[in-house]
Amino acid sequence: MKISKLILFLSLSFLFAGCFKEEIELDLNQGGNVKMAVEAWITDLDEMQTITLSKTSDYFADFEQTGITDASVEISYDDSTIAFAHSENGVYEAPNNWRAEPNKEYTIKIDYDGQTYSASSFMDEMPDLENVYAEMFDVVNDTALYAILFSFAETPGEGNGYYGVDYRKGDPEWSLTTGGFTNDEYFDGIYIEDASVSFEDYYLGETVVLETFSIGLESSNFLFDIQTEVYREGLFDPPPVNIRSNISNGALGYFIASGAKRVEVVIE
Amino acid sequence: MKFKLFSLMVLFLCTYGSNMFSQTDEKHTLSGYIKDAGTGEELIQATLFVEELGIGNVSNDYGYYSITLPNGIYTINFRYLGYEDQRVKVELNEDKRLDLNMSDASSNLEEVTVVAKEKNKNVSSTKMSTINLKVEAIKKLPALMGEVDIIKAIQLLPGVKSMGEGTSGFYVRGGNADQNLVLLDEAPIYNSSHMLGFFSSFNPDAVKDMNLYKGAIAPRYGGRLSSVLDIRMKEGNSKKFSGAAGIGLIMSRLALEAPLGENGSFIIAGRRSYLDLVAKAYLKTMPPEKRFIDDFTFYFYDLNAKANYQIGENDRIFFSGYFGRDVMAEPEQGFDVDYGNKTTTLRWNHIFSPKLFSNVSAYYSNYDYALGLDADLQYIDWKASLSEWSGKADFNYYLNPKHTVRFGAQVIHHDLEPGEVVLSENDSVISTLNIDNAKSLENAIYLSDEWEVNNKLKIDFGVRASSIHNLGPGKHLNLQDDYSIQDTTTYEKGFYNSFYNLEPRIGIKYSLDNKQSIKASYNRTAQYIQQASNGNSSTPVDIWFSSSPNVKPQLADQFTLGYFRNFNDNQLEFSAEIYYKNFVNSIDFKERAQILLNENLEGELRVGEARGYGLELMLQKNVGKLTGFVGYTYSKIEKKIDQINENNWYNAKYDKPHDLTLTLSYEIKKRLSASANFVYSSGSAVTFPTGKYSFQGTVIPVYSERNGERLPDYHRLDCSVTWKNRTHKKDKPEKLKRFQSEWVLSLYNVYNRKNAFAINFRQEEGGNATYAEKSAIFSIVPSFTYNVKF
Repeated sequence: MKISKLILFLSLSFLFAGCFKEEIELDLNQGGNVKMAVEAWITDLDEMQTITLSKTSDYFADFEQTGITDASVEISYDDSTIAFAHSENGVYEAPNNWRAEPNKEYTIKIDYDGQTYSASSFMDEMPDLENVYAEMFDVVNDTALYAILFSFAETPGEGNGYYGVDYRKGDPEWSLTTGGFTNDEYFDGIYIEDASVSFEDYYLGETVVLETFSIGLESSNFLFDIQTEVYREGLFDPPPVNIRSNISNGALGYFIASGAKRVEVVIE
Repeated sequence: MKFKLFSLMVLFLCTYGSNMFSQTDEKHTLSGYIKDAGTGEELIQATLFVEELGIGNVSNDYGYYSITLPNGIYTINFRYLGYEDQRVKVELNEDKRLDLNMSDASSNLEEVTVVAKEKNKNVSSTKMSTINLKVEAIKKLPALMGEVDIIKAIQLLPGVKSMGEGTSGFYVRGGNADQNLVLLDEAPIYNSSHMLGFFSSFNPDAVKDMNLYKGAIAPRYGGRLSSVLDIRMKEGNSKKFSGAAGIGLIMSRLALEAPLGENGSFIIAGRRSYLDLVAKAYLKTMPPEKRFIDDFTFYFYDLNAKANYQIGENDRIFFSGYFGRDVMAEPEQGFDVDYGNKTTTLRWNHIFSPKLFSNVSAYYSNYDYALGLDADLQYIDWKASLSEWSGKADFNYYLNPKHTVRFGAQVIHHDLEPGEVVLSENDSVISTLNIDNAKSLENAIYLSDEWEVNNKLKIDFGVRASSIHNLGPGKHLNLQDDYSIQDTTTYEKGFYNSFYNLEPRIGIKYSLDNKQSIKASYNRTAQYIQQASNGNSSTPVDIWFSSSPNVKPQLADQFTLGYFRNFNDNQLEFSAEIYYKNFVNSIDFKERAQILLNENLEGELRVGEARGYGLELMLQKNVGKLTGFVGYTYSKIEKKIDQINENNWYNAKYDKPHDLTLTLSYEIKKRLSASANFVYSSGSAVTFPTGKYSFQGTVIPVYSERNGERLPDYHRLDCSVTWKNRTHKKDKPEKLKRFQSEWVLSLYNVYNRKNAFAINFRQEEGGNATYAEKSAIFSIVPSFTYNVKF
């Protein structure tokens, strides 16, 4: 190898050397630090309400939810207490005929392994959805793409948060991050026209389900944390930190009580 | 506070004032400059020792010495590391000026006795936690790409940490990188690195001397909590035209020095990296489909210049400047950043009397950066800068051999421009955010005395009184308890907020015998402008804050206790120091801080406390064919900041408890030498996910407590061999050759350790499992450099 080529080779090896990447084994301290995760989001929709309790799992393992099956779960409001019964793999169901009502404060209490965990959440009423329709916004390869739009009157008084999601009817694939959330800091008390909650493309003939939830400011911050976590990896990202939780006694997860509206739209 | 301060100064002046301006008839003063005979450079901290009386002194930061003795005939022994000793007989019956020229031992063919330091100087001096570094010693160390690097050499010392390759700055005894006052000819350098930390900003050919103060910081220094790195540029050769040059794989450098008439000299030194040019040329030889990168810019340059001129016997003026710039851009990734420092210093040395020396200086320092980010359809352009100008006066009063008094004052005008951020889309500006400038005036006065109580006991003590005043016109955001903006107050021209601090400093040495001593020190330091970093390591775009009604000045109290002992007739020096440091008003960004496009940056800060402690051991050999040191540090640094880590103590990101360094240089032959470094340290503290759970179908990681995990341990071995070409003429062996040259072959990371720069977590393809992926920057890096001096 000529000297000049050697120099070039060495220089390049320095410049582009940031490419050494290899899989390594790390001994993370999960072992003795398993926590309870609470997934409790109750609504006033006319359907059975469920709460899921699970144990955090090893970070490196295939994710498989390990349900907590022997906890006592109850929700109280006003002078009533509703016991949730375990069904399978950590999912606890409310009695069939119980329906939550908006404008009440709900408190969850979980007893498990000699410990008590609790949280409270006020269920704001979700305003009615008006003028829900599908609008064509683009044509790709001769196929029209549609989005779902809606309007509603935002409840006066700052401190409201909203989550909305739309999905194909019967589609089990949607998750929290496919929807959108906001709070009323910049539109308190005004009439919101032609809002949209996702970037999903829909096609002619499909039936789309639109769900909106009035989740309160704190819960919208919780969803913001999740979004920040899911999309992190930038120069200005803050150091990683656990997603906030409103459950006491060190449990993870969140308890949200929200008024909700659900409508179906057939794209015609 | 003002009254107390005034009272203190009056008390001090009453104690010493009567002596300061009067002399007894029986005593006279010997004074002058100690210089290099070959270049005329003043020698800093050269020692003089009066053999008959067993007392001595050292030259100050400007090479000036002064000692007052009873009338008589004395033998004065002058010593300086690497120079031939000089014994001078002096009859002192009047004040005498003696400017002394000392010869560099390396220029002499004859075997001469070169004493590394005044015998037991490290034991007999009150100085502790202070390290004087010679560029010539640093040049012997193996270096990345063969480029001698002052900051990398400092990072080898006990008590000094680095965050590894690719990160800028250094961390001293638990202090953050912004808590180091890095001075180049008295002007602060805000970012002391090039290429994101791979190389330092300081051209070794332009540097004469440097001192790192890790503790026992003298009252003349202030404005930073943890350390002072005082770097002095060369004055320039006043005897003849000379220079130095080096050609390496990634950069070249050239320094030229020459006399300015009979009474002055100058030096100009520059460096420019050309890695990108070489790489581009190489890429052009590759087929297009094999080019993994097409267009990029990646270079830095810096320029040092200095001139000085002697006006009469007692006055000398200096003018120096530094300009450095880094430019990096990769259009395909939509990333460009450039940043740099510039400084200018004007200095005047005046000798009022043989006992009273003054240095009056003014400087300007600026650091600015611009960052461009292409975020999909939108483009973010962020520009920020900070600058300061200052005037200061320092006086050394050599009262008698038992007392050297220093006093002075400084005024600094800070101007912080946190940023103008422009968000654009398709070349159209969507929004602009201008965060208001923060201007302030920092003032300080100080007074100190080096007091030799008796042969065993020496005390350095003093106080620095400092203050900061926010300057209008300006806007101040009043924050509520939850740190949100309550309202805004607009201020007219003038001061609108002030903080005052008294910073006592004391160092005590007690000699157990002439080979061992115990030392102790305490110092309080205050810092009025500070940096907050949102990421896991310091970057050139970290944000600086001035103290304000929302951000109180940070304070640190450091207590140090040390044991010093020399062995084998001063050939081996051992020191052991323990320290405890307490930080008040320590800052960090809150959890989930948003620093981009946020005009309420102060509202993102959280305040608390920090504490650090450690043990530093060092065994050093300065003379003989084999030289070097082994150093070990055990340390801990933790923070407790409001609303962070659930208000619990957490490791600072630069908490690396164990740190071991071994450096050795061996002179195989007169012209052939070899060196090696070995470094080991605990991995940096990081926050890792330790578990996961699901919420509504989204898998969410569970993190350790903040910085509760560690990167893998860091260790590395470097080696180098230096071959000097013949130094003396073959036909006239007594004469030095005009050109002195050497080849340096370096191997960085000899055993090819892939030290972790970062660890990322990836999802397995087709599965839910996650694995850890280590990124490393360097494998083994061979290099060679050709250096020439003339």
